[in-house]
Amino acid sequence: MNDLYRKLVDLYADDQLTEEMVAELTAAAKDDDILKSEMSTLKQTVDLLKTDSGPEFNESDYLRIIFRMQTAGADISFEERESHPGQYQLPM
Amino acid sequence: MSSNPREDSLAEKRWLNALAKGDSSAMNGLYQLYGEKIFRYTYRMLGNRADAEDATAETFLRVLKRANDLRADGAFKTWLFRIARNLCIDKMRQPKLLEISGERSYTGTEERAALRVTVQNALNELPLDYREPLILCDLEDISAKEAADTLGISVPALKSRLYRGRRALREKLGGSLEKLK
Repeated sequence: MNDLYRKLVDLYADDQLTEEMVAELTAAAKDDDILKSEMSTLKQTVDLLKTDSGPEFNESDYLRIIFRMQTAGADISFEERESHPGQYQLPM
Repeated sequence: MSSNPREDSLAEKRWLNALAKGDSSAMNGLYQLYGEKIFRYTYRMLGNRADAEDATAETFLRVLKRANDLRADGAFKTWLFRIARNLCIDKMRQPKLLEISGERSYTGTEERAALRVTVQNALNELPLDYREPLILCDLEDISAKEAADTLGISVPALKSRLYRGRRALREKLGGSLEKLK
């Protein structure tokens, strides 16, 4: 596979190609098994990463980290995790 | 974090201003806003929960230490990730006393959980230059500009490492990708 195709496959996996370019690349891959495999496996790899929900961050993790900060002398209170952390509570 | 970047940006600004004024609840607000993101990032960098919790706590402690110097100028998130990154790199350099393997940290169906462990293990085997862009851009969905700023490199350099990293990861995953078909 030449360098140009290699770069195009990288951009394809990154969703950086226009629809027309994707169509052209897909058409070229019909007669090129290596290109076809490159496109499919690289895209699969990226999709796998993008859909990985990651390690669980549960209430215990949340509280243990606060406890570590408190132990180190930080003035941070145990508060329930908010569903909308952006909301600023005005002081009463 | 909410799913709305603009909402998060406004919240960040409010919490940083409150922190600078000495409002102790502001730290909790920032932790609620970014704690999970930093934990997930440090976990992916370090590969275990205890070290990730340590690094996350230390990251926010550094925020507290710098509370009076912080400015709500839009660069806070990048700064926070840069601190977390440096702490992770320091931890990686320390000798490990006990390596706990097989830690159950992923939930979901057995197959999906097993696949995530495979991905994490494959990531751990990659050189740091490749691993970091993959974690920031593909796993944590951070923009190329923010990721480049976090790593202290240009966007083209980041993209180059990202693309090479994806190919290297694909080679490591080999058979696991086949099973997905």
